[in-house]
Amino acid sequence: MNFRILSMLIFLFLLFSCTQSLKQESISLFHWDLEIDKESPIYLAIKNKIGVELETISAPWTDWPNKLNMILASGNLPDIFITYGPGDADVYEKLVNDNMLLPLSPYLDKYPNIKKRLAGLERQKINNDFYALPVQLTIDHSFFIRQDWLDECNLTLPETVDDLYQIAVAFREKYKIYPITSSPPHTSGFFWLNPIFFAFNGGWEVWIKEQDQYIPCWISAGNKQALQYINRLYKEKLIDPEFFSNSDNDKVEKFINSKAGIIMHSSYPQLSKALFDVNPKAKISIFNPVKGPAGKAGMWSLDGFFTAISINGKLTENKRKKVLSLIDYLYSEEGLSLLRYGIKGVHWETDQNKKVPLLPKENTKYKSLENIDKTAGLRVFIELGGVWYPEWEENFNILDQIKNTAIQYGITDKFTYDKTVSAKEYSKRLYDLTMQHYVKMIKSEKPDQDWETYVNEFLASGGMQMIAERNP
Amino acid sequence: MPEKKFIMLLFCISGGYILIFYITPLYGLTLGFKNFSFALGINSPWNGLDNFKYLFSDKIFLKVLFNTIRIGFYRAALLISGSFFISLVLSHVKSKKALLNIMFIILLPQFLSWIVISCVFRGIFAQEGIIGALTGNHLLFYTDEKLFPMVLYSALFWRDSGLIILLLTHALKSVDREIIEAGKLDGAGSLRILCKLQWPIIKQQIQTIIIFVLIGFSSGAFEAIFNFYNPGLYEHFDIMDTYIYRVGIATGKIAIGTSLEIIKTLLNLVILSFILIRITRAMDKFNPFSLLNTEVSGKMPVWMKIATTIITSFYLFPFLVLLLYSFSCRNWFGLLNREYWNALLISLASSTCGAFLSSLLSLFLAYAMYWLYYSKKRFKKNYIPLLTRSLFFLLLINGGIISMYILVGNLKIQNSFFALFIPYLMNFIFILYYLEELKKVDLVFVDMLHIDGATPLHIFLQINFGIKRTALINMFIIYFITHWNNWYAGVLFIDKKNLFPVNVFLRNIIAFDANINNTGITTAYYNLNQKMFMAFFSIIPLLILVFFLNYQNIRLNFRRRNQL
Repeated sequence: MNFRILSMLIFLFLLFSCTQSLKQESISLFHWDLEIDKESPIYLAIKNKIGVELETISAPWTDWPNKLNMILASGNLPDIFITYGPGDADVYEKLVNDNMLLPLSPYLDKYPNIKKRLAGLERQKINNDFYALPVQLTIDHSFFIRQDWLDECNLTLPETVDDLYQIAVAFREKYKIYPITSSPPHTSGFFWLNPIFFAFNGGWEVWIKEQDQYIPCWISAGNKQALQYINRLYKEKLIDPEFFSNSDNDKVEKFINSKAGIIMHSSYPQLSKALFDVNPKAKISIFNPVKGPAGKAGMWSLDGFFTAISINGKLTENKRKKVLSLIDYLYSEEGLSLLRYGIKGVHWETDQNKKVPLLPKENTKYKSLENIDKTAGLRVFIELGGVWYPEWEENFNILDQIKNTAIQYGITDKFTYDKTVSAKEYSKRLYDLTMQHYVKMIKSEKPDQDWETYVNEFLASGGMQMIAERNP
Repeated sequence: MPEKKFIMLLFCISGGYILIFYITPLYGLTLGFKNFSFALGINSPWNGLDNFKYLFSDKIFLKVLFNTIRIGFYRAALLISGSFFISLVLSHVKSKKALLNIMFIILLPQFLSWIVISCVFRGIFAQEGIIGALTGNHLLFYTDEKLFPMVLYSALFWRDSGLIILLLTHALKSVDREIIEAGKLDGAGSLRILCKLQWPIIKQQIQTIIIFVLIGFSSGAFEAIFNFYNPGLYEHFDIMDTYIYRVGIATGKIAIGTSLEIIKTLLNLVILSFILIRITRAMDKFNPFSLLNTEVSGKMPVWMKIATTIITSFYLFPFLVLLLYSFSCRNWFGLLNREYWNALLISLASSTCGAFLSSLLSLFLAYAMYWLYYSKKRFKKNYIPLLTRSLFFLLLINGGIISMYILVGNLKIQNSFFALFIPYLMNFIFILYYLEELKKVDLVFVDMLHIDGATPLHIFLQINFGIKRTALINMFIIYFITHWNNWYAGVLFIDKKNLFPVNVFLRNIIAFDANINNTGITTAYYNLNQKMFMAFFSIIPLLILVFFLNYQNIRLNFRRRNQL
């Protein structure tokens, strides 16, 4: 009797195991705010093409690096996941050295679209191999100003830091507000003021040549001058005294509620819509990064890529093939078109050789493809906002202008992919230290004295080693 | 089933949970002594005390350690002294109904998560907030390190003082009125009465309160600081927990993060060690709800009435701010979208399931411990102190976030509804509270049940769901609130938006930057009014439930007393 029960149990167990193994293989993907709809036409198109199910692991935008580190530490790696790539050398290199990431070179000939993406990116190699596919990004940051206020004050768009100061004075006098504001808090609000640092020959997250040696921009003379300029704005109530602690949301809220007239930000369509919703008579203009006393202007930028996708280095041969096939497909013209426009006849149609959207409208504007089919959000593994907008985007021309300005003025760190040992060790701590001291200097009555203290502490906390290694 | 087997079953169920979720993760602390490798994870090679040497040679860490001790000390001092002062005033309130209402108001902030509180305090102290507007934006509470303590400590006091005031007021009121009256007749002033008559009697309760405050010595201010601060305040307000989050997790320095966890735990143990021996005794006096049975009579001086009004206003003011902002919110209907309702439902469901399971597990453990207590009384066998101390030890240490994350992953509950409450089912303070309630059950009553031949299950049901129903409801309420406000489980274990509880949903809007869509583009901006409205709306279900259960509770209490 017992034997029969045992046999029955074993049979059931084997049956259960078989059904489990017959279940279609799935690929797990990690990215911030990633969602897919398994019934959607785009998802089904990808599934039919590659023959795998997709599963997502996600986190909100601000939490994703923490979440990823938790996942990595737990050892349960997703099959495809996003990292900061070679730009964040300490974690990325550790992953490479721990054999957690799949080296891509052996597969390049078999997967032409992956090879195409990596062409000319030798600088991103680590240990002579590629371990990540960079995600394309075009910076879409710009200064925004209330054009209706400028008109009322009979002023024109600022071109220099002095113009910016004069306009801020005029706005303060006329509207009794703090004219300039900034954000976000983890940069003490300095990030969105980065063009001011570049204007004074300093910078943001770059190395600068000063007296024949490279030094981190943080301790450059240019940054000191920029801080003196911001200190003056602060003392004369021309910049929002809460800019150190504003979230991006707070900053935008102050702008759209006429509590500030000048900000730097991204996402023009959403910003302008939010402003016009509150104040339909308002006008908004964009302006180029302002020039400093020496006529220099610039803004923080990247080399065309932000974040990178990597493949779990411990996949079985069969799964590895599936994962590589999926990525190769997404990077192909067909795959990219699917994620940008959707499916012909469902999301778009051709009319006189032009693509015409079949997307529903909200007021006068077409809804985005991602709103209709969440799976289109997989585009984040290939390109991020700013790289591409559909032809029917009503702000297409302004967005194009913002993009071109960012390309024209963008300054990238030439050592992004060439970090020294001490830079990997100390740069994050020194960044924290810098932000703390920068806040102090803005509020200080004696910024020069504070600057000396800061530089000494910076050099003593690893900065000296970083400079010595960079200038052998 | 024989009684011993029944009790063993209860022990095994609750003990099994403790073994899995409290003891197993402790292995994760070994990471603090290892050279962490992503490939080897928890099996990384040992490196002795290298991580600790690194930390103690780091100036920033020493500053963080100092900040932790300073803020922990100020928090404890403020909570104890402030609560003591308020309790002194409240102990003069004569009307029982008024006192109950005041107590309820004072306890209300404890129902709110720090996510909601950060939003409310922004409405008060930020530039666009009420005080900001009144002072002409001259006082910058969030950026000035001299003013920031006002925000931090007032929020900490507002949120955490309720239970302490309740305990202290109860202690002060428990002093026999006749002794005080006799003192007055002898010509003693209020201060003399307090020092000579009330103090010796309430000393024991004060010790209990000190223990409760000191349990949160190093971590008590974490959520407040985490939700309020920015790099300009790191120098003076970075504490161990925020540093673990920023350095240990955000930059992937897992071993250093775990070493920090160990140091934090040791710090807690050192602080508590000198009173640890008294914990069991102090716990005997822990009964926050017995205030309901306090009787008073007579009239209250005018200055006391004014002081009481001020105190009540202090606790009500932030709620008023929340209401004001919420009601001046435009397009509020549009904010209550499908995602929001879904998050609210998830919170409701997970908190209910969590509170139910938590109460059940706590009940099993407390009842099993009560059985040992009963055996001790009847058969002179004493196991309780050892068990209580072991429980307190577990309360003070944990294996850190990484171990819990690994555990939840291995149990395959990650990204499921269960991950929202299963990992955080037991709170030992609540268990001890319930145990103390059980100890009040007349032993003769239990003897009678035995003599009548009642089965162990019958006795169990009679005691817990009959006599101690009110205490069980109280425990359920407290667990419900704890689960509702636990946003950390949602952040850690949930990846899918449709499983986000309301506090995680709010955190993504309040603490961070609105809706950023998949391609990194901001899709919507929320102003302070809209955030406040969503925060307000999120606490309505909680308040309704708490009001309902509280009145039910009071009604039950009165009915029982009338029956007696």
